[in-house]
Amino acid sequence: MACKPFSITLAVLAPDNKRQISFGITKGCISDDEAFYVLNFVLRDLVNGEFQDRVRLHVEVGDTDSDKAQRMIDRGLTMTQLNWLQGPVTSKTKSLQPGTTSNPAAEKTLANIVNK
Amino acid sequence: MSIFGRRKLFAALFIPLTLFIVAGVDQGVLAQTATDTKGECTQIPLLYQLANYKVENITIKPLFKFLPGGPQLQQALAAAIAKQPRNPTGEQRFDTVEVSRLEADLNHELFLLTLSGQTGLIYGRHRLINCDEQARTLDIQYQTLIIARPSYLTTSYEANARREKNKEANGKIEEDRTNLSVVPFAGYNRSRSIYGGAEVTYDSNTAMVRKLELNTSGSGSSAVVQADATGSKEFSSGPFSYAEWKAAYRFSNIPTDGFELKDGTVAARVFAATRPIGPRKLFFRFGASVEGGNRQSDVPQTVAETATVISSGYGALKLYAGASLTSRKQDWKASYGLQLGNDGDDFGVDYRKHIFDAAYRLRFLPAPYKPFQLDAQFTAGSLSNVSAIPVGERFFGGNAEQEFIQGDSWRIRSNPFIRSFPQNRLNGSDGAIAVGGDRFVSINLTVAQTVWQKRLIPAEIAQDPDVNTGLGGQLLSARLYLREQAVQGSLEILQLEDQVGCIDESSDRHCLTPVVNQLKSSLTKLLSEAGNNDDLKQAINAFTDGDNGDALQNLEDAMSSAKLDPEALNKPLEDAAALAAIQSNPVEGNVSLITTDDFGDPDDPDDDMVSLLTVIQQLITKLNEQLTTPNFAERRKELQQISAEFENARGVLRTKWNSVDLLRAYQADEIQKAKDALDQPSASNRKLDEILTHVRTLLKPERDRVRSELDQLKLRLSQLAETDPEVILIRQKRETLLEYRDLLDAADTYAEKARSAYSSANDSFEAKDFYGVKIDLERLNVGFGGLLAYVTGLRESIRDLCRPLLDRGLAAVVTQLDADVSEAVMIQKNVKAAYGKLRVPKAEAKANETVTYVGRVLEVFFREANLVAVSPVVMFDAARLRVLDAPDTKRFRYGIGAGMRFSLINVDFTAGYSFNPNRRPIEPRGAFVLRMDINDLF
Repeated sequence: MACKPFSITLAVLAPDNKRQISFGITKGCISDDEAFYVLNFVLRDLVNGEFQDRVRLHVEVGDTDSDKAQRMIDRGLTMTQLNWLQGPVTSKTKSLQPGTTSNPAAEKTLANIVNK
Repeated sequence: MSIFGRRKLFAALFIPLTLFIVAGVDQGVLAQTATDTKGECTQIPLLYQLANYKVENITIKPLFKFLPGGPQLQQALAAAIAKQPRNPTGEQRFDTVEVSRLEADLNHELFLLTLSGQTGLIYGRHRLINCDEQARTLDIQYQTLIIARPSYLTTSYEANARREKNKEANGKIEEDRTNLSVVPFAGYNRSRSIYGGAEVTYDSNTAMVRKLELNTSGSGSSAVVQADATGSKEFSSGPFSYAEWKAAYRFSNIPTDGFELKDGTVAARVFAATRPIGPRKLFFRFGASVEGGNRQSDVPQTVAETATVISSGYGALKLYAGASLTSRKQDWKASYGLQLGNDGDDFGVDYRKHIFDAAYRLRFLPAPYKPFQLDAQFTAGSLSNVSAIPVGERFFGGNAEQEFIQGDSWRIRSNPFIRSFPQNRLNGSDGAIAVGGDRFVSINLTVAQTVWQKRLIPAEIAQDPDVNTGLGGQLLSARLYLREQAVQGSLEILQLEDQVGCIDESSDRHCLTPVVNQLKSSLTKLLSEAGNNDDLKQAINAFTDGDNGDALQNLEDAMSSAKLDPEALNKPLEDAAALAAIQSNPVEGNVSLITTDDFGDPDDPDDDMVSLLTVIQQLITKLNEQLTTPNFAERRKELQQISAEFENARGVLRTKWNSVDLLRAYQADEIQKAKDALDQPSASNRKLDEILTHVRTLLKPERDRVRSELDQLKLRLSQLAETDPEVILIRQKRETLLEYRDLLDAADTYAEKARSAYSSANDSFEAKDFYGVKIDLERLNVGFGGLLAYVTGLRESIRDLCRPLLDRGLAAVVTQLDADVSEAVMIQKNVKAAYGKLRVPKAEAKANETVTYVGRVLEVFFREANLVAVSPVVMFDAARLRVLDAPDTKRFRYGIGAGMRFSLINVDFTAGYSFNPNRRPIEPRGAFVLRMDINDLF
């Protein structure tokens, strides 16, 4: 599809008025038929009368010919995809809390858990 | 004739776009100022980048010229520009990537400035203007559309009655709140004639008295004064969501048939609403009002009922309760009010007034953007006297609504409403002076169907495959986060956390820590008993310094790390790793490390994954092999018990972990059925992916042809002088071709994405990733609220393609595409049926409380909301007002009318005429209907 740049941000205040979620997607065009995306995801909670950020995620996905990139845009940010964004070296143990035992074999199980 | 109430008229004049409003500036002049037009930018952007064009000006303007202005655009652009990395040379060279990065930052800044605490949408795009071939410069112009719903301050309850929403909708409440506002208004009503007035509001912004209001209006024959001091509070916890208290004064002098009715009332009121219950937002509301004052009229006492007091004092206690329910297409509300009143002489009860009021609204879309709306209301009331009833407290019907509690945000209609009679003119007794009735019932129906509209979000946005899939993907991210949040807040994970860290030595709890301590103690004893047995010593030391490192320490580390961080969900997550960490909580992660073995590929020993407990068990086995002599019999037995206890502890941990997993796990058999439906071949014995591939094959020659034609036109344009008359024609043709190309591309993209999702569903199923299968089925066949499922997007884009394909003589292609789409839609229908039977796991259901609402908002924005709409309206009213117990007042009077509704986003203006079909000699033929309503589309 010919590349057409745009950006769209949707902000939604949850019915309980205590949480706001914002999704931003910007499509940019490197050339007429090569796109890249900037994704902004913000989740905010109402604390003491003010909205405070809980999640503030800014992700740029360049190579949309890549299946992984397109899959992430279409299916959302799962942990596997998040790790992929940080590069192939990223270990899944990096996402464990401090003190978690590092066991290379166990990473596979962890990936299974979070991909459920 | 008019039913413009005070509030309605105010709103009609001063809230042109209440629910949504668009911020912008009329002239796109911002951080840098655009100069005169230098030339069109006719090339693709990449060419300007390659030609080293410099950016001279960056400007911003609203997407539509008619939108109102606002300073936020400038601020947002300035903030976004400030975020961009500086070019050391100081030059701003045009770059296709940077221009979109700036646009992303601009959107984010606009979100922070205008949509904080609100629901809304920002759409942005940019274009290149003022391209100067000589100077190699150009300007970038950002165009933006901001649509906002009022903030949480007003949407929490009865938003329609709140006054600040026009400001709040503009995102300006915090920064732009002016404490004092004066709003003049005017109107016409047959009973009052032409009247005018003003509403003065002072916002004190204190909790006790949030607002002071004074509303006055007058005409030659009437006067109304109302003054309120209102305080309110929203509760974040407990059974109530909202409470309001008010001190009010009202004076009214409005004529009715043949005489005047005057009343003066001072009131103290309190009102509260519960927290919404369930997915249909069931609210219970109740309140009380203590009132005193007077009721006067100049009606001769001779024509009034004996028990009626024509002029008297007034005292009343009003109690009321009600409930409302809201679903996606329907709203209900019902209220009951009881008034215990007297003539002000004492505290006794002279009369009782009962009011019951119920309303129903049905709104659905028979076609996209063309809502059908039915409003029905039933109201009944009765007066029973112990002694005297002030005449002003009797019922007077007509085309103006009276509220049981004047000025309250919870509206309870308290008079017979019939649109074919002017205000207070439903006399009901031929020729007699209307002295008011003591019993009434009224039924009202209004039906409207939109026949013409202009959608709020242009089709190029709402149907764009990238918008639909990109937003859908983010919605899935949000759901995953919220699901994990629900998991981490669950009782199940607390029990798992408790189990892994428990130290209870009782045998029925099977805690790990005592077993580990027991093992350590045994090992210490064994080491002291090992003597010169080096093999035994090695087997003992292997627990702390073996091939797996310090296995015991690893196990203890995992146990002590299996704790939820209570602050983890309270800290801002700013990168992917942090979000991933939330999704991979340390309790489940470490329990997995402790308990789970996965031997992977049987042919690949390096693929084995062994749990920490299994490592310990292997070490115990090896140690036992060294304990062959009789003197170690007791130790061997001890180790066997320890080993058995480890397995018991593993079993309990896995059971509790399984309970956590069930919070997010889909049932394999249900997923299997849904996937089987996906794999079911169509009537032509093709599977969905084959159909989709065929669609793409059909489209490909045409897509190639269009590209070739566009290239030829481009070449031809480059050969012509700008002044050549052919240039205009070629450009027009090119525009048409570009639109056609976009339609072809959209259809192809949906087909490609659908095929990819089909393939992903199968891959996920093979990997036993049932949640993955579910979301593939969801995006392929179901969609998220207003976001199109891929198959639906394909159907709509093919539908849009039919006309241009037929125009190009491609009827055969249209026929084949129609057949393909019909078969794909049939498979979609079957999958949706199976999908609908999937039991949603508990944690996901919790997440869906928010996510489903987001889907609803998307549906409103993308499939329902119109910028303007025109709808014919049909009205029917029936009312009966018993007056003086006269026989002829026991029959129903009717109003049958028609009109036209003009809607500006969510504000409906209705104009029409309601006829009185069984007209009596002194009655009018009917009455004009003018009305303004505000819809909450969400």
